[in-house]
Amino acid sequence: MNRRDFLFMFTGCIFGGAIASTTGLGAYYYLRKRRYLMREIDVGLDDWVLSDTDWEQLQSTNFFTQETNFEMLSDTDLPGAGDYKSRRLGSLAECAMFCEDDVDCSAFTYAKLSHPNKKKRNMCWLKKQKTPDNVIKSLHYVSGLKN
Amino acid sequence: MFVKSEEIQIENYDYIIVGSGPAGATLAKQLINDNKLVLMIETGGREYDSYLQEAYSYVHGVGHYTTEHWPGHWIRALGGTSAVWSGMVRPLTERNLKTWPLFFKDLEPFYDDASRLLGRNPEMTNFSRNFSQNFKFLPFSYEEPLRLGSEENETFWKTNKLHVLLNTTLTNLEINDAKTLITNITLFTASKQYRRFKISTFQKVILAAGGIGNAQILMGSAKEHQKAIGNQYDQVGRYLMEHPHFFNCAKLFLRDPITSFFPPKSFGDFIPAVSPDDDTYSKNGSLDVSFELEVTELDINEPIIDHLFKKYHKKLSVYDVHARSEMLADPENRLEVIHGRDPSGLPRLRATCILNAADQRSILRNLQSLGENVHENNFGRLLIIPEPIFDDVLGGGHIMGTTRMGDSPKNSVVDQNCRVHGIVNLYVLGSSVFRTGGYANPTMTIVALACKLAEHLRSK
Repeated sequence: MNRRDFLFMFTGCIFGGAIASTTGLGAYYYLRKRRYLMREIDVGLDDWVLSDTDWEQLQSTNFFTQETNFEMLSDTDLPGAGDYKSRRLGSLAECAMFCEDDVDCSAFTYAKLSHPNKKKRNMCWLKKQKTPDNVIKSLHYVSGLKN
Repeated sequence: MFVKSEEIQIENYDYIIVGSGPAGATLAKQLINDNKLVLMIETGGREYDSYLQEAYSYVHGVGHYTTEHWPGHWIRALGGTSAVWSGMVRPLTERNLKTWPLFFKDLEPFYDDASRLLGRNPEMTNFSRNFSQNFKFLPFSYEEPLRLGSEENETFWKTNKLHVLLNTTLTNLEINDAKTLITNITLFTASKQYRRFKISTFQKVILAAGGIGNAQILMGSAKEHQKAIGNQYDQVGRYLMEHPHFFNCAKLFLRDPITSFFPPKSFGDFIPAVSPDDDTYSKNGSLDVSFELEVTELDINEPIIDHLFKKYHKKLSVYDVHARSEMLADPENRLEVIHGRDPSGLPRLRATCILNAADQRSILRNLQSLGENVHENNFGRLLIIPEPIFDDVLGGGHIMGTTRMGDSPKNSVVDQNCRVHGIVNLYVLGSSVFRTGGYANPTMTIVALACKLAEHLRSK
């Protein structure tokens, strides 16, 4: 490439840069915003601005199931008890179904949306032990023993 | 018309305006209508030049706004930062102006002028609807932004009474011993020469070089035995404020769409937004905020949504909430001179701009108030997403406060007429004179203050 060609290419890059930087300024804020939307929103129950009635209703309906195949233990954790499988599921009912469909499952514990540890929220643990050794009272869990 | 520094007769000019952006150009437009001869000095050329931009507008940024942030809103080209502004127009309000040495009613007539100059309907300044018990619907006017450097404005720059020196920088101001009068100015010309000119009592110099530029010129005038002009009490460069923007800081779920609050067609295009009423604003820390409501799809899968809204069989209206807010006027947020100089010899600057806890807390408190408002009447529910308020701080590109307006030189740089305290023939124009920021984009207020200054100069 001779010197003249190099000069043309160089000037072209400067022009391009100038145009890009002026139009890019408008795009800058838009792009920043889009990048955030693609990030998974990690929110918890406490981030909602709720009324007292909302809260009471959530306590009584969202975390309990009509399942007859299980003895439900509200506000209860069964730590250990032969944990062999775990998964994050959308609801308590799904966790109960997950245990019901698994022949090895004798009990399950489900972490509520209100759990302070984001990693534990909505987690469902399947357990092998028929009669769990530890039964702990905890506001953050609901458990079920298969009938 | 464009002139050359070798050809000008300085004594002929009534006014010398530094900067060709919305502040300087609006002032010039008014002054030449009064048949005055105006000299305008612009560092840049007709077109944007990225080399020039980088060389002249470098600012070392520390805090929530870094080095990349500032130059993007200090454009060195004919028309200044009007080349990149978004076109969003809103005035400041009475509560924003509380600590200023002027009242909203002083500014009101000039806001009407500003509306027209920016191509908007003046009636939109006062549009407001009740949104909820404690929030008002206050949209931003959002039309084609005025671009002063574009072809449409060619005739303005070619008028006989306005002489524009392109690629010229004001590098020095000299003051008399009594510190009451600017006596000389020095220009770094297009041919890279320094030319010094004598200024008389009857000539007025107006700095309209941007939030950074105005402070830079004043701070650059410091000499060995002489403090910087207008800076006896170390106020220049202090109280640097931006408008923190927090995108997606909440999601609003409403039973009904917000279209019922929209302004009439005569308002023009707009961005829908709500803002707390005066009581809620005071209760939550007296820092103003606007929450833009942007229509969006329901994209979170949460059992709680099914539960909260199962009664509403028709589709929910969902909005992403974006906050635009006010920063505390903190004297420790400031511009300071650092080592090095730009090609004209003006000093390089560091911009330290750090959000106070109060700035961020105020957003959370106002979001909480909004959330309580909407669940009270089953209007809807608000989900607050705190992370953007702490991790994703953006700015509007609004540089305010660095030569603030006030009653006393002990805590300000200019008086209510934008005149530097104690100096008969030196004025400062632009967002650098703002004493507080409010949340509104500054352009409308900049243009209004320029119209007000023109009126003041006319009356002298």
